[in-house]
Amino acid sequence: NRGNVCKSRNSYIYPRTLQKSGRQVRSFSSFIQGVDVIVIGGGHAGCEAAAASGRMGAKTVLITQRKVKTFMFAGLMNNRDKGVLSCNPSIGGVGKGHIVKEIDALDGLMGRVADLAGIHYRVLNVTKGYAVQGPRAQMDRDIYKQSMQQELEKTPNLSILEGTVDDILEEKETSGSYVNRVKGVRLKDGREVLCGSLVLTTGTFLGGTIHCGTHSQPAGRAGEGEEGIHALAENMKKNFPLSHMRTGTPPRLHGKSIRYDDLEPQPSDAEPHPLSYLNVGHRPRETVTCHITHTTQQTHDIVRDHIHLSPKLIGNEGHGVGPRYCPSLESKVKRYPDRTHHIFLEPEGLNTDLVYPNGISTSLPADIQLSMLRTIPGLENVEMARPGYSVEYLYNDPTSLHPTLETKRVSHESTSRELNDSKVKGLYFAGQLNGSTGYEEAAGQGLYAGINAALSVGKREAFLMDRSQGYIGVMVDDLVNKGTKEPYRIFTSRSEYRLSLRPDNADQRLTAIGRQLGCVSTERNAMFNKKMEELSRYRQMLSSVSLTATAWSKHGASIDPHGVSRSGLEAIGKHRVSMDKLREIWPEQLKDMTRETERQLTIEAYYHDHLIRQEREIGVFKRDLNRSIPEDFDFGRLKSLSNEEREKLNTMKPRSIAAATSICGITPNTVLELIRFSSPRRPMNID
Amino acid sequence: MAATVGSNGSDFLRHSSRGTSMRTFLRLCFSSLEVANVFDLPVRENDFFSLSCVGEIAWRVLDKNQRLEIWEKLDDPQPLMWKTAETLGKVWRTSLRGRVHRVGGLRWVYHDSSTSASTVFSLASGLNTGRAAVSIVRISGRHAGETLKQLTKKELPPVRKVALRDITDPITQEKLDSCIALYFKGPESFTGEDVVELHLHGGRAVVSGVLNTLGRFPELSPAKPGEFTRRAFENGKLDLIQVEGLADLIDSGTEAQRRQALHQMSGEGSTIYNDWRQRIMRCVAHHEAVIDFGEDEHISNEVIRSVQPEVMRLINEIERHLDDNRRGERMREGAQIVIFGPPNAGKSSLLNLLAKREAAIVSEQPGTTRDIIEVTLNFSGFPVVFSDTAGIRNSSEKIEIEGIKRAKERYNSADLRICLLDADDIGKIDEISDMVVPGTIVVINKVDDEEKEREMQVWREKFPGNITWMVSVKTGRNIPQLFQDLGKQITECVSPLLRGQFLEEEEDCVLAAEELREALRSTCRIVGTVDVEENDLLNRTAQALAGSLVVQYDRYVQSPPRYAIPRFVKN
Repeated sequence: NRGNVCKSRNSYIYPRTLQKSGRQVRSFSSFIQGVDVIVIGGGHAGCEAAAASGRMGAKTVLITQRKVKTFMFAGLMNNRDKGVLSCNPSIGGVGKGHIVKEIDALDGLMGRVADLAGIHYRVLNVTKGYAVQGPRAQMDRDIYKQSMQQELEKTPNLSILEGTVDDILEEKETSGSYVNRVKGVRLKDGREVLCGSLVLTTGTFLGGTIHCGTHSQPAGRAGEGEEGIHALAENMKKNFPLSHMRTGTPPRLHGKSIRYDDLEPQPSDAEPHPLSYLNVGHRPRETVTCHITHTTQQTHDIVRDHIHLSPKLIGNEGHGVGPRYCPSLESKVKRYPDRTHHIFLEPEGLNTDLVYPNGISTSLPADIQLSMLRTIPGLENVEMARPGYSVEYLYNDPTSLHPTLETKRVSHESTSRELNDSKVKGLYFAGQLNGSTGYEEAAGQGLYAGINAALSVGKREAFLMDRSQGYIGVMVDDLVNKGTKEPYRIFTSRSEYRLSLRPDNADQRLTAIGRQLGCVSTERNAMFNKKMEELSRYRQMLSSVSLTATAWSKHGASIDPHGVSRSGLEAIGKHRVSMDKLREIWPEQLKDMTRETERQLTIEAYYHDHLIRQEREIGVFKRDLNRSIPEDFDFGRLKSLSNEEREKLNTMKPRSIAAATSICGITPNTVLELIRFSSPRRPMNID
Repeated sequence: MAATVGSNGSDFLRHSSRGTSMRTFLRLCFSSLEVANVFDLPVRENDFFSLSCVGEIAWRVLDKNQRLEIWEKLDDPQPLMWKTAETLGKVWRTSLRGRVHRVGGLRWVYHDSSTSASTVFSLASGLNTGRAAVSIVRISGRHAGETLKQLTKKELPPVRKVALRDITDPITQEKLDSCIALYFKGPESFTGEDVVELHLHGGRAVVSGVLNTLGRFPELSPAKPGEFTRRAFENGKLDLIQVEGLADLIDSGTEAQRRQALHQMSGEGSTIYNDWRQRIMRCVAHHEAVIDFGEDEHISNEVIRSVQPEVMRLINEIERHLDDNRRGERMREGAQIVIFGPPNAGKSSLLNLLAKREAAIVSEQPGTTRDIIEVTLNFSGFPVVFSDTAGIRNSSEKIEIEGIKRAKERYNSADLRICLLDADDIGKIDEISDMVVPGTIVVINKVDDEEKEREMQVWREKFPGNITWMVSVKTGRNIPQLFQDLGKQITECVSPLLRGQFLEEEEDCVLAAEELREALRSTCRIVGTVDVEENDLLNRTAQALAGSLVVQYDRYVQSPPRYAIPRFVKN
């Protein structure tokens, strides 16, 4: 009964900001009684989801367990309890940096906040080509947390509610027959909040248990005073295919006890590459230096000798299903016994002594961790602020999601038949709950789910980012169509369109789309348009001027003088002539070109030939995508397929040829068969 | 007709650089086909059959876009299309030679959706072989068995057992023939459907009688060219490489052709592709490891260098293989050998000697040969097209000028070149000696005795890189040895050409990685076992390699091999 709920609702569910944007509120008038979008969880995914939904004009409430101190690394640096964990204080990297840029292109928070808190900038893969360069920055946790909180407070239509969610409420949709719609949530204290859409980002908290040696306690993150959300986990188990994954974090060190003298320093880049497109020419307030050290044979011996003291987890016969690409020290030692492993010593902030030793996440007993640490060069006398641990949590099989990250809710063992048949509309999952690992992956999904949740309550068409548009699209597509057996991390090699999905052009790919969706602010849009205008002006100019090969070689460019004449862009792209050379040749026309434009055009010219090929492939790919398979198509009728394939297809129910192609174990012959039977000219009958 | 189109197509290719607009090319093929149709040139039954088989292969090697484009234009299966595809197939594979990263296309086949459910029949043995002892009519499809019952008025013979049956026309009750009937129950048949084979007495009357009768069955329709093979392919009975081999086998005229076709049929091709796929996958994994884990795990770019020798090996192997393919193509078309030289050197006489007949007019007068005279021969088991050309000299006569122009064109397009010189006139060959490129066989004619041969020894040194023969066409001196050597040369007609452009140092390993990925995709497509878990697998491999690679890196760091990934020139 909505009336009752309204009465019991905490007054600050209606934030002041709501009144400011009265026009936008009207557009969501079907939900005036309640809230449009509820986001559960205040981690990276939750913050992006809530902020995106708010930017799009949906009345949004972010429900988090501890309102003030939680955000980020999530509440990593709790004021009461300095030195409490979560994980790595850095944002970006190869693939991950690409996602940060995409989030920023859609006006998300991560890039902006990271630039405010960045204290060490480094672009990874500098020598390996523009397309795979990964901008990364180390954060000051305190500043990040504060800045994120400020950004959220500034976000229109968004308010924050402290509480623990115990259950998700559903109701029969009035129009459709067997469809349930999310109605709201019930909090631990009995309050109910009603909404149109719900984004669930439970991170490591859903059924989370922390393990350190033989000691374990239910929690999502150590020292938070927050419990894992177990009541919700129990309720969700009935309806969702949940299983366990594991992640871990290394111990934290006291910086003063580290002997840096002999360690290789890794200073911040002289010219920091900002993570947000808004911060061109960004200068961090202050930078710190990281150091590199490595494990030794003694370290490995200690780990090996005590590996039996590792906690007993649920998944993978007691070992837990951990991230393959960010493995614990234990599994590194097991897999590569003869290799030493690098450790990056990363300061956690400007005003803290804490150091994060990147690369040695472990869950051995605390005393073993300390003796192990002291075998590492530079750490001979190290003091440990807090031991590393691993956390095992529940995730939902992402193949039970739509490509919008809305759940299809395919129940495994539901008690009621009616539930089993029903679909829940308006329920979105994001972040680690979908089996991913990493801040950026979580934030990307959060943004994506937040946008779709807001679109859904506004009765607008869903936003689908496909694989050719961005790494977020690649990630969502991978998760939703292929599922994942281990924590999913993004890589550039996961994308077929790596040359066009670059960190430098995420805004060109996405900002205009974001503007249409309504999640990009006017300021960013104006900045983007200005940039585009300048780019196209110089692009035009450089492709219209051309010199003969002889003339080029006279100017000292390494072009075969007998070749054909080349335009300015072609000279850069095909012959690697530098833009400085072009400035010499056409000083008048190019004197006002900014460094950013110069860089952008150089990159474009550089990849031009390859991109043409790739664009052709994208065209074909989109064509394949368009070939749809009817929803009720019975793959069992395709007798030429193997039983396994038929079973897989019937379970996954791919709706397009492209989706079918990406299912594990589906061969091209099968795809051919599917194309044959889904061809528009052919009726779907098989004898 | 096919020959007309084929040669037009390859001429077109020879005269245009790589990357010619497909559209233009298609138009050219279509127009030459139309010409053939208008003049109603004779077409052999087998032509159609092999055409359509190869057509599927053409489909495979076409660029995906172009293929889709063609696909969409086709509402009805047109024989024209198949023929075009055939030409494209041949030509396209020629152009594939230098493109290691595109060693094939998708297994994406034009599918005639309107007919595959029907039952088709056709004469399966060749028509124009004259009066054969046995002719075979094949019926394939759901109604095959029923048709046989009606024709024989008896129960079906046991599956895959030979049975003697009288066949009569069910309407006229006229006895057509007494034949051997075979019944194959699908999927254990050539096409994978129910198949009936009637081994009839040879002879046109019998065959056409039976075909006419079959044509009156309402469920039956005549098979389109190559339809049996297409059905076999669609039902998974043959992979494309086998289809290609089969088409060659059916059409093979010489022993060497048959051997090569059998080799392809047996699926040896697929094994090689699988091996390549594995190895390319390893190379890709190394690159991906450097890109995605390089910074975290401290894997240096040197790892990529360590991959490069393997990449080079792969390239060489694929090139060699492609040259084999090219050779296969030559077996079908015939290797082109041009005889050129100054006028009256004896080129036409040599041709006549090769042909063992008076193919070309021979006279004392220089400039007798004006146009190109072609003779197709079975030479050491290979079909070879020898071309006699006009003698090259400065001439003012219009027809001769045109003849010389054609001679030069043929010279440019030939696979093997023989420069024939006149021992008596050898002083004045400036222009011609420029045409003696490496690989050209120099033959000095009119060397009738040993004295002359000693006299001519100095001329050997004029062409140090070339094989020089002293022969006399008139007396036959050294001619058997020359022919033997020619046979050897023809066998090794192709020398692997190096088309890679080498980077001085790796400048952008992501581009190299993209090329490798493309290579991998391509090989996967060829083999037809695209592993859709590829990305996962790659990542897994990459991560596993990340560890082991560092060891390799240490080994290589002292003496990094100076290879680079070849980047293919696209212009």
